[in-house]
Amino acid sequence: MMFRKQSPLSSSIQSTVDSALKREILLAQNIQMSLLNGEKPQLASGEVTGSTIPARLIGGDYFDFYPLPDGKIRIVIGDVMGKGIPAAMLMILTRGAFRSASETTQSPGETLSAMNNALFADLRKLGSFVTVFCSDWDPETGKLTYASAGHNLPIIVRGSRALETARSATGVMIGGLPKQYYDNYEVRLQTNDLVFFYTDGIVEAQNRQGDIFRLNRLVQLLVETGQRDAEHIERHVIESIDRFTEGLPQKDDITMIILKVGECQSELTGYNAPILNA
Amino acid sequence: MVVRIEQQKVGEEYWIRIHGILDFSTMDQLHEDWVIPDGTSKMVIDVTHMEFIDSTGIGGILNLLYSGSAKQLAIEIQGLREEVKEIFETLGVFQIMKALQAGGDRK
Repeated sequence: MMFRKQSPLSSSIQSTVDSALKREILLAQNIQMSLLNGEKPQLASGEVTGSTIPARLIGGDYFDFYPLPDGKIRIVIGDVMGKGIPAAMLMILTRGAFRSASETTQSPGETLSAMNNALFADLRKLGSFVTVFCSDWDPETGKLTYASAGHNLPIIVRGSRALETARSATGVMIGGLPKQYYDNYEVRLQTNDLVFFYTDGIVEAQNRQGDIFRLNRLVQLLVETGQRDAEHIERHVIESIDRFTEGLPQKDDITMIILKVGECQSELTGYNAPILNA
Repeated sequence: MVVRIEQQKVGEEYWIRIHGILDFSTMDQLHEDWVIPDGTSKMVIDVTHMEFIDSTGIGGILNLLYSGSAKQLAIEIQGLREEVKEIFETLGVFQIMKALQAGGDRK
C-alpha cells in the first residue's frame, strides 16, 4: 500500500479553499437571514411575526409576508425538500416565484398555481419539491383565505380549544405535477384567535430516545399559551422543543409564523368548526 | 442510521423493499445502481420495514414513481403505516401516482 505525503503547499491551498468556502457559507447565511427577516407587516390591530431556525448554517424553510393593495396581507410558509445549501438555493428560487406570483394573482390558490407553473420544470429536473401554504389575511373582516400545496395546515386556537381546519385543503406539492389547480378555503377568525403556521421540523423534532415531538404536544402548548402575545408564544414553542430534545442537534429546519388576531371591524360568526382533540 | 434496499424481480414484478431510515443521510443508497430490469411490467415499493422517512426520502420515492411511469409500469406502494400514509396524503403523493398512472404527466 502506498501513501502520498501531503505537501505543505497543497495543505496551504486546502486551507485557503476551506476558509473561502466557510466565508461564502457565512455570506450565504447572512443573505438568507436578511431576506427572511425583512420588514414585518404592521397591522391596524393584532400582530403577525415569523421566525426560522435552520438545522445547519442555512436551510430550506421559507416564510414571507406580502402586503396586498386592498389592505390584506399574503402570508406564505414553505419547506424545500432536503437540507443545507442545496435546499437554501431552492428556497431563494421559491421566494422569487412567490413574490412574482403575488404581483399578478388574486388569491392564494392562484398564487400556488403560478408558483408551480414557474418552478415545476426546474424542480422535476432536480428531483426536488417544495411544500407551500399560502393565505390572504384580511384584518378588517377577519377572513383568512388559504390554499395548500402539500403543506400541513395551520393550527387555529380560539380560547381554550383548537379548531379543525378543512383537512381536504391539500393540493399537490410544488414540483409534483404540472398545471395544478389549488382550491381556496376560508375561515372567519375572531378577536384574540391565534393562527400558528409551521413546518414539520417542529412536530418531527426527536429526543435521545427517538421519541417525536408530535402534533398533539404542539396543539396542547398552543392552547396553554394562545392568549399571550406572539413573542411569548414563539419563545415558549422554541423552549419546549429544546427541553424535549434535551440539546440533541436539530435534524430539520424549524419555522413558524404566529398571527394574533386583533379587533376585527366586522366580526361575523360564520365558522363553527369542530374541536380538534389535543 | 442505516437503510437497506432490497431489489428483487419476481416474474414481471420488480420489488423494491426499503428497510430502516430513508432520509437525507441515507438517500444516496437509493440512487446507487438504479436500473429497472427488462421485462418488468409492475413496480412494487414495499415500505413495511421502513422506520422513518423525511422529505429527502419522499423525494426519492417520487423519483422512483417517475422512473416507473417513464417505463409505463404499473406502480404500487405496500406496507404504508398510518402516519406515513397521512404524510403522503398531505403532500399529494397519491394524487401524483394516480396522475402518472393515467399518463397525466407525460409530455
